[in-house]
Amino acid sequence: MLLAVRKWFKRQSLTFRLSVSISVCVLAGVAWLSFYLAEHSHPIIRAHIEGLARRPLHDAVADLASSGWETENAALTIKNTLKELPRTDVDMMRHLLHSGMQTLFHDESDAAHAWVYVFENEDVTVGTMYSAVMDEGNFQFKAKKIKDFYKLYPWFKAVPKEEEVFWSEPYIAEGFDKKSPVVTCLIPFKFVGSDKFDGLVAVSMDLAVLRKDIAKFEANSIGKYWVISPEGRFIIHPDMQLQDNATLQDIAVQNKLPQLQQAYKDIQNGKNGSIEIPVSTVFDSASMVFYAPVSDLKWGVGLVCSKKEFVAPLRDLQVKIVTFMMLWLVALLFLIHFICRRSTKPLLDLSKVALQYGDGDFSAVLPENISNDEIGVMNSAFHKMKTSLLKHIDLVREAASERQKGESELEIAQKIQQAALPGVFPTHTAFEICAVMTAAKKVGGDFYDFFFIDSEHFAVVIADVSGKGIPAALTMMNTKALISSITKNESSVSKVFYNVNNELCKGGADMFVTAFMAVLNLKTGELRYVNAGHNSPYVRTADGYKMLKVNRNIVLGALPNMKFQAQTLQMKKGDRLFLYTDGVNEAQNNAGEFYGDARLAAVLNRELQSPFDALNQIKTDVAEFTQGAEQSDDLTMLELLYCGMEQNVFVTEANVKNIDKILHYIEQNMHNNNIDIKAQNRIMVATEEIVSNIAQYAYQRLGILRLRTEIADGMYYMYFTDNGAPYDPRMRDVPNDFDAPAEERSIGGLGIYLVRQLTDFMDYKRQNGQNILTLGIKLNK
Amino acid sequence: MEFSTKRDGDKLVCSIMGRIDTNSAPDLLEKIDFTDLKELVFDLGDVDYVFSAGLRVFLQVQKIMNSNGGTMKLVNLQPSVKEIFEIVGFANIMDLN
Repeated sequence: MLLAVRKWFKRQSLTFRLSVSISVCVLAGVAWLSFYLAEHSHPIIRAHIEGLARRPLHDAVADLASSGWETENAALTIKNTLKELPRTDVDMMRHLLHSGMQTLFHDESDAAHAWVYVFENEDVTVGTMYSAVMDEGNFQFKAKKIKDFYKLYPWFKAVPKEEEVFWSEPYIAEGFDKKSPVVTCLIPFKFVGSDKFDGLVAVSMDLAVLRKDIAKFEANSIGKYWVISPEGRFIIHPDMQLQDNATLQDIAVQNKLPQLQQAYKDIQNGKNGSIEIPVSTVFDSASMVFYAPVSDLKWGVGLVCSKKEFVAPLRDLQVKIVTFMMLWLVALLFLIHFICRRSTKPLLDLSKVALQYGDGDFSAVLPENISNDEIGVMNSAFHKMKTSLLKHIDLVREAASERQKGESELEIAQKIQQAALPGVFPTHTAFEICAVMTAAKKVGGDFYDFFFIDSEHFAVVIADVSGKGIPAALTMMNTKALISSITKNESSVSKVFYNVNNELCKGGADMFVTAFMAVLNLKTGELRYVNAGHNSPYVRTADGYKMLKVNRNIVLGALPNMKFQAQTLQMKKGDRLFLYTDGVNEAQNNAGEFYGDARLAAVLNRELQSPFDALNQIKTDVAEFTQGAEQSDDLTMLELLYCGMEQNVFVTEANVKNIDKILHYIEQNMHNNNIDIKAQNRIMVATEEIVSNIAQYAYQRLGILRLRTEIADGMYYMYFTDNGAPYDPRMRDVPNDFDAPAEERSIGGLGIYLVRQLTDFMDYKRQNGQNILTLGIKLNK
Repeated sequence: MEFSTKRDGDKLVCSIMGRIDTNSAPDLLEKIDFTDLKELVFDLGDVDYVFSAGLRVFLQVQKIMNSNGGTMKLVNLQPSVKEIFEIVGFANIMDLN
């Protein structure tokens, strides 16, 4: 789940992620601040409240102490007067009380109670009570017999042994028309000459007045006061009803507030202190109570401060801070979003431009580089990338066009080379020729050539121009043209090379040519040849192919005026001359091995074939040897087969189109020999059938058909020789439905049947890779 | 080979000159309109040679005429030409006049 959220988050835009991240951080900060304020403001508030509370508490204590002292003083004054007197009368008492109370009055609104109780006997329960009240300047006095003092004043425990001041618990002073809650200061006294206490002097503080006094402080203070008696009763309490009955301890127990008990104990021990009270039935809000003892009176004063009043402003502050922070956060979010958008916009622009660059559109304009920040740096990097790319593209383009130029140059050279080669192999009764040149990728300068010098002399040339490319191709053209043109006026091959050499040397090009040239006398079979630094050719006689012994001489084009020694070889019928360039024997395989002369000789002698097939066989063998290694040099071969000069021979390409030529030759031949009409017809029909068969079956490609005729022993013989695939027409099926009606006669097979029926002699043999078919037809005299 | 045709109703006379060989024989078959043809006459008076391809075409034409219920006739054959037809047994199935 968390992982999924993380993944999702990572997919969002930079703007979004930044906004969210910063917002989360700010939120966390605000939360922490609020928590910190709440936590750490507490002692500060407490100290603050304490500081505020100390003074009014002290004032109240001082006021109470002074009131107590005044009261005590009034009581002492009365006692001291009584001490000087014998048992006195009512008037005297009235006077005493009146004057004693006078001292207590500060203003008209004060109220005072005082009484003197004179015991009748030792039993203090019975006696005379002289009581007085002074309220708003109005003095009242009363004398009254009392029989159960303890009942009236239940808080009174016993008369003290010593003459000392003691204080009552709060009680309701009665006897007059107004009941007032009071606290009374008591002193036992003795009349003059008495040896035991004769009564009690009591001066009371009206709690209503006391409260009024304290209330003066409350107006300026931070809380409300309470005052407790030594027994824990409330002398003064904000809630007046609690004043009479409840004690602090009772409230502590009832409301489970042990802090109050602690405060009571502290007061009893004369200590200051403060306690905290949570919200309860007694305190309608969380409060702090500061307390101090009023030591002479053994009272305690407490100042109750509601925390609410102090905490509320702080809470307000907190709320304000948080609200402000939230508002700021919202504003911040917008700000961040805005800043992010602003900062990332150039990135988006850049990426758009980059996309266009990627599509090869360099017209896209980069944003103006205005800042020095990271995006500015990136922008300049893009600028640099663009320039570099454009430069690089230019370089690549240039290189490509260079290469194309180079390639087209090579193509041109190759075309020149191929176009210079003779395209058609002549068909002649005296010889057969075939040549092949496979150009290497980077053109070499090989060429072969053959041409008739006259009707009896046929020249063949093979050459290899040093160097490659167009210069080599041009030199090759030049050499070829020189040889053929000079040969027309020069019968000696050595002189031909002499002249060609001189012409090539004139050119000044540092090109030289290895060449071999031979001229065959078709009538005699004499072969005149000359070599200019070329590999020795092979000659095939009845003993097989053997390397021809040649004078190597110098290459053409090296030095002028060089002599080239010609040689002669007598060729017999069926002999062959095989010419080649070093592209054959120096062909290399991937291991760097050469094809070599031995392999060449071996493949030449493998099986006697037509020149065409022989050259193909070598080509295949070389290809098998090199195993796809790149051909480094042109591979050129030429084979010339001497057939001898015989009469009555016709040679042509074995092609259906040439049937008419052959028939025409036969017709002429028959006409010259006065062959009878019937034989003529048979010969013609048979010839047509055989030639079309050879053209269709023996040759799947271009081939030579040689036809020799002969008349002997009253027979007309025809010898069909071809280099095609083995083909014996005698083996062809013949139909056997000659007696069937037309519908059932098959269309095929008629031809061979016809030939059989028309001829009187038929023979076939396969010899030296050739089909030799002989037909004989009887002549009618 | 050259040839000319003369149509007269359901009769067609086809005069051939020269030699009927592999190259020219298929022309014959293409040029003859067999629709409603009841009588077909080949005049071979000027034919020097009939090669096997020619023989095959004549056999095909004979088959077509037979199936159409028509007749085919070869007239004015030179003896040497006629010999060829006889050798392959066509004399039995064709009208060689």
